[in-house]
Amino acid sequence: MTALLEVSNLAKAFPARRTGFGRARAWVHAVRDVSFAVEHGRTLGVVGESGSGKSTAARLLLGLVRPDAGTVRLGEVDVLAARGADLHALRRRMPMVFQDPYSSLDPTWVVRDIVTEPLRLVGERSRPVLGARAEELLELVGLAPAFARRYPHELSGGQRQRIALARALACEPDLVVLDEAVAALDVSTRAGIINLLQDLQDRLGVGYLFISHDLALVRVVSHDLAVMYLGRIVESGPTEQVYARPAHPYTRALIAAAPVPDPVVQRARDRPPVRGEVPSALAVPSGCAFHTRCPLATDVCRTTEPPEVAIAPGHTAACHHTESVPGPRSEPVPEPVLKGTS
Amino acid sequence: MKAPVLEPVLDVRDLVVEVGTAHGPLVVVDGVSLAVAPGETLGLVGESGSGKTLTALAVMRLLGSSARIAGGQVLLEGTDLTTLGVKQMREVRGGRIGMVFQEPMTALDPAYTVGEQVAETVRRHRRVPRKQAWKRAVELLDRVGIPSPERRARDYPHHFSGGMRQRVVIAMALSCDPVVLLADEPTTALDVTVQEQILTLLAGLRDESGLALLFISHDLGVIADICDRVAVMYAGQVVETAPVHDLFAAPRHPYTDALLHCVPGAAGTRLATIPGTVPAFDALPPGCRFAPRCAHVAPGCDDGPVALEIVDPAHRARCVRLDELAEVAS
Repeated sequence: MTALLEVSNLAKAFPARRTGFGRARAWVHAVRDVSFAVEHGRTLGVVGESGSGKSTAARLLLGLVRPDAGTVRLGEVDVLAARGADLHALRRRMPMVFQDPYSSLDPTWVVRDIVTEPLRLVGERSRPVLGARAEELLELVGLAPAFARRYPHELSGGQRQRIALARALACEPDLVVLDEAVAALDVSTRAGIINLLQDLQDRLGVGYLFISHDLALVRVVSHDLAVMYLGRIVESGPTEQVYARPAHPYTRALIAAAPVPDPVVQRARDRPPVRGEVPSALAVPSGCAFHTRCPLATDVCRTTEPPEVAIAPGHTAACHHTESVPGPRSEPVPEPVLKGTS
Repeated sequence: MKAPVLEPVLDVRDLVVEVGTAHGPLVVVDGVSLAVAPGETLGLVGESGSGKTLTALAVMRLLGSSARIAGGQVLLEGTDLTTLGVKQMREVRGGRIGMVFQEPMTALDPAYTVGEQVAETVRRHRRVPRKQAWKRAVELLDRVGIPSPERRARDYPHHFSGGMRQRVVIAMALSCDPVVLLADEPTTALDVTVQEQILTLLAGLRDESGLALLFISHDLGVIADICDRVAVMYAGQVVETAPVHDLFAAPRHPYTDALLHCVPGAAGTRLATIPGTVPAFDALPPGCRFAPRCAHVAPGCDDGPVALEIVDPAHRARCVRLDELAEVAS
């Protein structure tokens, strides 16, 4: 079965600090050789700290930024080969929802016009049809039909994010890209949106690319997980498998650093602190990019970029020291097997 | 567990803050009382619009022109800050009370080196020669864990990462040996691995110097990590206050209970939600402010303002059905 979205070997470096003649003197390696797939009706969570390249990856696959290398396939279609009207049509098949619902909705439009804009763009002109579709979309995201006549400033943050989601669903996409879509919301509002996302997936079979810095949240919504660090995916696999047996030291650090909202559990946790902060993407460390902060780093980590090592079916980690993974606490860690040259 | 034998250094009593609007003043912080003892951390938790930041700004008398303290006392070591003159208050800020805010870059001036800025806060409160202030600045940078502080003091804020900038801001807050440190979402803008480092630093400083820490956050995980006691705010009121373990293990206000259930747990579990939205301050419910969204609402909830009832000596909750709901829970 072909994946809904398949991204292979995506790379992008942005020029920084130009010379007087406009030539780049340094490069920000935002995304380095990133591959992942989103299956029909499933959610891939992409986690990472600031500068990990997770948002750039999303922009690359929508063709908003041209990558230096790599391919993006939506079903059978090569997204990066598309131009003009074809590209716009493709973007409607994988719309994006952004973090800030205050800046992503036009304040001068009423909700009905906002949610049906994608339909008007594909040529739907009939007001009764648009009106009926707006009501359907609002119903889908759990808002009363009366919201159709309101303006964004009359809505709360959670309601605005529902509107952004309704607009994303207008053209019945197979995939929705959610870039920190709930990060700006309060805890109780956020829970409502997360539940809504899951309901919509059950009802419509839509796939999600869920980009977030919040590990606890990603764990709840994602079937599969990809952990990014300085432009590279350092670990990926089925979410619960990665949680049960995080193989990359960075994944373990992330899990350990996320505070648990229970004082008894939180204070009893063994949390070896991670040193330092994410280095600048202008000067990605040699070898394994995490070696400057890694408690397991040895000489090989400083010189050689680690290959992807299979930990379990579908679960890989890019680390030289996966054999020293403190295992899940129940079953033994299988011998790491080198993946064939890709 | 710390025994609450120490006298509080910061004692906020029945604080009322009003905001001026076109239709007259609106009460946005309504009778908030908080007390923090030396070496203790009080967490102030709530969603946006709950009044937690306004409470902090009122304590510092930094409300600006549109809001004012309309009642209550803010006692710092027995002195009521609400009665102090502008000049005296300036001595208190950055002197006896240090402040750390969410975004370190807005607290730092990009045009001056980090050492100059820390030294300046020292000199603002103490008459010391420049050289001595600089020495003190380097010491402070060292204390907050900035490597090679001598050299780094000569760098500008943009040379620092987010976590290091927040350390500089903490160094500035500590420059005059404050008794109270007020931290408003100090780790919200930071990455999770860096957040952990800053929390460890703050807890260490608190324990070393017996600082009273007032820690404002919306993040229940962070609150669970660092606080001894917690006050939960909703729509301008404290609805529950308790020692941290009691609050998480046995919340007595339905809002606290609901909030704790909204937090993501294991995969596959459905998150609890709170229906409706926080009421606007010009359309508050007549009785309990949480009643329209409460799962346990009963006829008596709308009768009139609800008082903070005593659950046990250290635990209070603002709920009319306190006793009935305790029976349901047990």
